Amino acid sequence: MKRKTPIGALLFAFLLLSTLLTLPTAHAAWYTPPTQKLKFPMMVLGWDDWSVNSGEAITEQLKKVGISVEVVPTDDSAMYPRLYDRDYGLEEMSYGYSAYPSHMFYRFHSSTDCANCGQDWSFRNATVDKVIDEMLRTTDNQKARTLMWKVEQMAAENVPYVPLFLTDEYHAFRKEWTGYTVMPAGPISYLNWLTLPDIYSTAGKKDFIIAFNNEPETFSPMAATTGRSLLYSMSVYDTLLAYDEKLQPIPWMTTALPDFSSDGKTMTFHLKPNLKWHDGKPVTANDVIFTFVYIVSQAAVGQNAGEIIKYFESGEAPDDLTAVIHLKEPYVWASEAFGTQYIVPEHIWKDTKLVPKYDWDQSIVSPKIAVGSGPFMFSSWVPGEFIKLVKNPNWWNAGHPIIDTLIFRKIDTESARILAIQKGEIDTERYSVEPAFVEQVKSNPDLTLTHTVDQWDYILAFNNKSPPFDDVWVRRAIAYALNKDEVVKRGALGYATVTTGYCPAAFYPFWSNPNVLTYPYNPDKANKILDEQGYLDIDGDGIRELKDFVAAYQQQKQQQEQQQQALMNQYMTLAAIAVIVIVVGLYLVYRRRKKA
Amino acid sequence: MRDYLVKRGLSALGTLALAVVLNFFLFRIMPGDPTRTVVGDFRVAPEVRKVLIHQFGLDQPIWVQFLLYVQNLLVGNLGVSFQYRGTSVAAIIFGRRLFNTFILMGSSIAVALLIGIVIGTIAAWKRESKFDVFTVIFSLVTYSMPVFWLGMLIILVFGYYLNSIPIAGTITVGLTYSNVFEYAADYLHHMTGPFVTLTLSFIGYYFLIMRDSILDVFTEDYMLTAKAKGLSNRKILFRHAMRNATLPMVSLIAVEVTYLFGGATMTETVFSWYGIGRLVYEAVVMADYPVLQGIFVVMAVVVIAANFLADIAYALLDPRIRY
Repeated sequence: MKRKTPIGALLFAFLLLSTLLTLPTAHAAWYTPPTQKLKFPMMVLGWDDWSVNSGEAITEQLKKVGISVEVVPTDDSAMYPRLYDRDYGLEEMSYGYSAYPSHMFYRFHSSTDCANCGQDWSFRNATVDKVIDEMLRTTDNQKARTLMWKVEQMAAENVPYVPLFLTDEYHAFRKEWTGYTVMPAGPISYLNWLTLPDIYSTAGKKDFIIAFNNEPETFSPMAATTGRSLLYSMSVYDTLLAYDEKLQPIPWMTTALPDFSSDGKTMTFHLKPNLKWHDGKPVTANDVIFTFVYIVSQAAVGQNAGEIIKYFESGEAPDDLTAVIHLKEPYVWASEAFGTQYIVPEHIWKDTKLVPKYDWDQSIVSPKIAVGSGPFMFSSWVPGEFIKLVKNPNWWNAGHPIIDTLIFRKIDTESARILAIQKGEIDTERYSVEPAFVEQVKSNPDLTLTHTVDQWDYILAFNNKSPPFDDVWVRRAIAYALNKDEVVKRGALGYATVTTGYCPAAFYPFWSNPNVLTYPYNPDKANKILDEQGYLDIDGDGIRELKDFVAAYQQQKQQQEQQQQALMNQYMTLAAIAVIVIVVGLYLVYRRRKKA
Repeated sequence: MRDYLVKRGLSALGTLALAVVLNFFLFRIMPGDPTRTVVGDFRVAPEVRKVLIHQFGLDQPIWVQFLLYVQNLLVGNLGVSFQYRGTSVAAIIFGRRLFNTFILMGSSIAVALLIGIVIGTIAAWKRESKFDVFTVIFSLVTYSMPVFWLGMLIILVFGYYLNSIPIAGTITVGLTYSNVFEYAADYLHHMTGPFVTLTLSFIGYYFLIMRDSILDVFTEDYMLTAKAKGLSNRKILFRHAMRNATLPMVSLIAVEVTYLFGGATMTETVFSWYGIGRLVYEAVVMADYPVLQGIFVVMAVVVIAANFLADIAYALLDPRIRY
């Protein structure tokens, strides 16, 4: 049997491939704004059960006020580009909170209305911009809060998105552990500096094992952006300030909160004496200044890096314990942004052979490089299995940490992690217990369950530029139409806190406006608003038509009526003339008869 | 024979070239911004994003990118991971992950193959007896069970209730080993769970195919000859029937080699076994294109090489094939 050479097939394949390359790279828009009915798709991330299920609850509630919504679970790779291009009408997703409400700038300022700049809903309001700008430059927290309250109120009046809920944080610990601090985002989070140095076991166990679902993607504090790498950075490296249970800054490496000059552009940190790096060398203000200069010159991508790059101008260390930082302009959260940056040792990081440029290349860790001044020291790492940290005996808080060893273990699935906690193989996990497991953990006598609010803020966002969402009344009506308790029951199995404002008190007790306008569940009011604004249901199918469509329809009807009226008038005049002619004719005939 | 080898070799190289080209362009055609994984945080300054884009060569025209890619490939540089912040893809793939997957999959496939072949042969011989019925039902049941469910059951029963196997990982955390044997013992202890899960899920497949293949061979004339010659049942079965029936399995094994590399994603996830299958899943979720491309290229090379070797093996084993 002769064998055909595959050359022909290969040629054909290449031809096929070349046609693929001629495909236009620009893709057609996914979303077209409706022209007739209030009917839209709602985009949600497909893997996020909270979004999908609460989306379905929202669909049912909006149906009752005549708005038809369809939940469209979407993959990350499709959803984010659409959000950045504003190629959507309605979307529901969770956005995260940080320790200070910088989201009020990122979510509401016009300058962040661009692709992947902070807001995805094209909200622009010059008045709001002015107040936000003023707030950012105010260094007096009390004054800043007054302005913040104004921003919250204006946001509430404009409803660029509808806040839904904050997920609950449930953390499972083996019963023997105590000393952890429960605060917003949970006892184990990168906003919580207090737990790991203070935690201890009443049964005398000296290792504390936390399970992650994956390894930190980097060991460099200059590139840490995910919860896993931030938790590692926080354990091995130290920061100038930390947060207390109310998310207010407290001195950490410093003796007090920083001093500010009267114009707010100069910030001075006073370090505690006798701070030491893990290799024994002393920590000085030069390390602090070096860290910030490094971030700016290397364009780091770490957690606060954006703000530091935006505001840092220069710095100097007049003595070993004093770090003076000059800002480009005053910033309301300068203490928080600069104070929670992980400080790195100058004597190691200035050596570009040890630490290469653009430090996000650093995922290889060795005891020589992984030198910090934090409560724990890097000990060993087996890729894919665990990271072992040991306590720093020279940490500035004598006697802390109380545990000897801190281990981060990789266990891929939630069910395996829960089993491992129940069995005693690990002591806790990095995350909140998933809703499906909460009852099981609650009823287990070997475990304690902590409960607080988490940092995941689920919202229903409108594309404020796309009709009909450019009409503030539609947004308000939708806000009134939502029964958020029901949404929480469906979306989070009840394990979430409803949010009524844009800076909720559950997470930001200091900054939250207690008297802000809210939209309590009121479907009658929603219906009334839509009726008054002209979004009526003309064809009786239960879905309202767009205002313009209704207006055009009514105008058409009016014209028709007028035409009919005119026609009627014509007929009437003709009829009147006919009647007069007949009457006159009859009279003439009668007269003729009489004569004869 | 030499002509045959050369022809097959050239065709293998051609397929490989096509795979490389497809591999490269397929990822570029897909929608979505590959830089999102690295600079997805909106707080990153736009200048930084530009620097990264330049570093990864994403601002060059696509033909230049392809040439650079091929150049790097020939030197063995598979690029740098987006997800693991600068670690080279070759280090990620050819590190512990490959070792773990290889050992796990290799042993499971080997044992499943061995048991499947032997039991399949016996079941075919004893067809329609109780043994046959039982093994066929057993194979069908284990084959149709979802692998991850079986794995989770094993963890629950043996790991949690009976406490005889660990719940996750390849080694015990923080243990120090005095010699290689202790390490191997710990490793194998951790491998018990995933090994049993995978073997059980593969056995059914090999068993059923082998059994069918043997029943097919029974219809051949030489089986009748062997019986007529007066050979013992065991000799007929294992020396004649099984050897001839195993021939189709050679092609099958060439395909299974992909699994050695692709790994068993679900099993690895359920047992937190640090392997390649889990890497593929993570890379897909995190849009880590360099890692995905690297895995695809490696798998393409392995599959093409395995098929080429299988072709040769077939030609050597089967005297009927003449070129």
